[in-house]
Amino acid sequence: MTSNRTNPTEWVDLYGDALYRYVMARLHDELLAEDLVQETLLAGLKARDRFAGNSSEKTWLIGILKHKIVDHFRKSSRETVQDVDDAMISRAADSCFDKQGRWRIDAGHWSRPDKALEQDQLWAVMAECVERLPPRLSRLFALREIDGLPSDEICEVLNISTTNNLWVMLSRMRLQLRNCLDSHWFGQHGS
Amino acid sequence: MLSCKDVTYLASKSLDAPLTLRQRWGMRLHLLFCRLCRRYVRNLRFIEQVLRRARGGKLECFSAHGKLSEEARERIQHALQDKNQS
Repeated sequence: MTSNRTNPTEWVDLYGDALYRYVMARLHDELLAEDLVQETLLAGLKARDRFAGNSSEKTWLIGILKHKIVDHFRKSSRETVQDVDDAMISRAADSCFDKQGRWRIDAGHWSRPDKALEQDQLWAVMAECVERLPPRLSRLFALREIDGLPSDEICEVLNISTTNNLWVMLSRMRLQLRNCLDSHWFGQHGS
Repeated sequence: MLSCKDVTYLASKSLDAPLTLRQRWGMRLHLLFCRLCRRYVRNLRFIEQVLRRARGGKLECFSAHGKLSEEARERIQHALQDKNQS
């Protein structure tokens, strides 16, 4: 018996919130997040004998949760039609440019947040903007910007056919984020 | 000559993969004359920095809101207890 192990009846109190936050950062859906936390803890209970005890129990559980999130992404990228989503995403990006590909929009001056409080607020707006992304782009954000997965893995999980399509999607995601930040943060704070 | 739309794409791609020499020069030339694209490139860099700082810190800071609801807590607790006994 390693000292790293705790009684599973304590898991909800010990790790519930941390696991919940971990999911919410990646898929912004409270009910789904609760389900995945439950599945993770049950899977952990079942596989407890295989927990080697050389990492912390929390890290181990987060590892299980990570797989469940990726599985969920993989599944939803296959069972629903992506074309409609993709067409909407592409229209949103195209609307920023005219026929010749010139900007139709401008952005304000972005000043650096200088106080800690301002940084926290900036972070909150950023999180909000990520949440507003279409589901496909917010999954992309989670895999690329939070977890830093390699490109081929992202393509496989999100069912993106070529690396070039991945670059296009990433570019559209960043464009949307930039525009959202510009109107919701810098629109008020910039000069 | 690259369009602003092309440059937007390349500016993003350069964060994930190396650009070809031709793309780099094309972009540089465009930026020389285009204030809006210069601004866009700066904005992307800013976003990258914020994200990098977030990644370096605690994972939780990627999430704005943060607690399991009481109901969920109870439900999961029950499920765990059921399974633990069986």
